[in-house]
Amino acid sequence: MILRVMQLTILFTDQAIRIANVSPGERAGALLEFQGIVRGIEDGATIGGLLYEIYQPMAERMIRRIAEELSAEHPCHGFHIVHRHGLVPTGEAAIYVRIEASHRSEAIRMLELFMNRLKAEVPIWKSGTVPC
Amino acid sequence: MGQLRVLFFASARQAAGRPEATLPCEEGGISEAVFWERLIADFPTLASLRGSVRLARNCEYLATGEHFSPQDEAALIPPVSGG
Repeated sequence: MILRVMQLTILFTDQAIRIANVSPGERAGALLEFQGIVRGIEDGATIGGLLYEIYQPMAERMIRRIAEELSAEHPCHGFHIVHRHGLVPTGEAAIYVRIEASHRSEAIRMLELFMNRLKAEVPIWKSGTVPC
Repeated sequence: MGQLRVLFFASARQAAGRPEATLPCEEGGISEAVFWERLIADFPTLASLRGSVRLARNCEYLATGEHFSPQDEAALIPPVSGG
C-alpha cells in the first residue's frame, strides 16, 4: 500500500503576495487557485486598505490541522496558503490558496470548506482600516 | 507562585492598551474563572469583552474545565475575521 501525503505549505508575510508559476504534479488533474482581495468599501465607507493581525503559531497549527482533516474526506495532493499581515492595500490579495487534486470536485470542495473554517476558527483578524 | 504570560490580540489588545501581560499563577494551576478575575482586576477595560472572547492555552482553544499553569502561554482570542 502506498501512503500518499498531501504537500502542505503555510506562509505568513507582511509583503505583497507573489504568485509563482508552479507546474502541477503529474497526478494532478486540477489546479485551483484563490485570492481573497481587499475591497475598496468596508461597512459602506471607502477605504485605502485593511490591517491584518495574526497569532502566527496558533494560526499555523490550526490551518495545518484543518487542511489535513478536510483532505481525509476530499483528498488533495497539495495545499498551499499564504496570508498577509499588516497593511493590505485595496485591490491586493490578503490571502492566496492553491490546491492540487486529481479531480476538480475535491479541490473545489476543499477550498470552500477550508475558507469557511478559516473564517470561523483561525486566529487572524481584520484589526482596522486605512483611509484613502 | 509563577507568572502566566498572556497575549492580547485585535480588540483585546486595543482594550488592554498593550500586546501582552503576566498574571500570577499558582504552581498547581488556575481555573478559567480565576484567570478572568485576575485579568479584569489588572485590566478593567477587558471586562466588557469577556462574553465574546475565547481563551487559548499554548496555541489551542481552552477546553471546558481546563486550567492554566505558570509555564503556559495564554491568549485572548476575539471573534476572528481572517481571509
